[in-house]
Amino acid sequence: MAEQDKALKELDALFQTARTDQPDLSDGLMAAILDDATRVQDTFRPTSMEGAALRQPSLWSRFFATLGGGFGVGGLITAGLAGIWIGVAPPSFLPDPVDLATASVSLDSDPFDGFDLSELMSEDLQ
Amino acid sequence: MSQVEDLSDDALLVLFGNGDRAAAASLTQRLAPRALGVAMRMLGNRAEAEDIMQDAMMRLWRMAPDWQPGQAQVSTWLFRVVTNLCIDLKRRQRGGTLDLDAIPEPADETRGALDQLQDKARLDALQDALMRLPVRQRQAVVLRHIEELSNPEIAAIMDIGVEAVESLTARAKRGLAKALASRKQELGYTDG
Repeated sequence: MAEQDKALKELDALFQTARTDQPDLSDGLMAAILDDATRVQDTFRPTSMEGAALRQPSLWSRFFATLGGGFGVGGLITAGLAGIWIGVAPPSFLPDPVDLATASVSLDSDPFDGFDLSELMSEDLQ
Repeated sequence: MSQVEDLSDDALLVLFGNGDRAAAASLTQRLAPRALGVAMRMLGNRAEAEDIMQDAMMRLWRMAPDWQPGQAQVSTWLFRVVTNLCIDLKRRQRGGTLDLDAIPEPADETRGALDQLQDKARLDALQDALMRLPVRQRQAVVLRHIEELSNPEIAAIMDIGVEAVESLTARAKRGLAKALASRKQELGYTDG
């Protein structure tokens, strides 16, 4: 039993020696491992670039987004159609746009003809 | 760059997966010599051990994008791959020869040449005795007594329970002690 204990103690001492006997990496092996690492790492990048390309919005998408997306474009179309409709069939309280377009504007006409400045000022003083 | 040295293996592997070149160098310096040491103890042949270690490091690089930080230790993962590759190699080459001369000499130059020769002879004898053990015992004893991993870590590497690890290492130590006992005189061990 004592003999076996002694043998195990010697073995422990031998393990201790073995622990200090760690191998060194040669420069060539280190370079080969780092080359492998670089090659593998390069395979990650195209994948992420492809992903980035997929995530990059197209010109149309960016234009669509600038207008405010679906709601914005919908509103724009509605407003455009309403404008056309008002132009074609204006409500009775608005002047006829055809008349406005064809009416001649004289340079001699006074745009403030209907206003009486003194009357307006007297209203302010009251 | 200097902060890279302070990071855990876990964090370095995540950085590597994100394209950091410096992380690969740091991980290699930390892990590759230990992985090579384990492979050499398992195989008894430096050239084969270098191939196995390089293969294991390659697997580490490839696995990096999928690494889940905090779930396991990178070194544990690497030792598991290294030892499994060694076992696979040994299975493939049953009856192959061992190249014990390929194991490097101790690097300590401050000690006497005779002491170094004696250490070399003892380490060769240890390696010789290790190679005579069943492969699972060899794996357990190398990881426990040379790499100083804990029993739970070894259990994770070997995919067995902690008690099975204890049993394997105890049997391995008895086997080694018995194998070395017959060479005590030759190795400079004296009675008393």
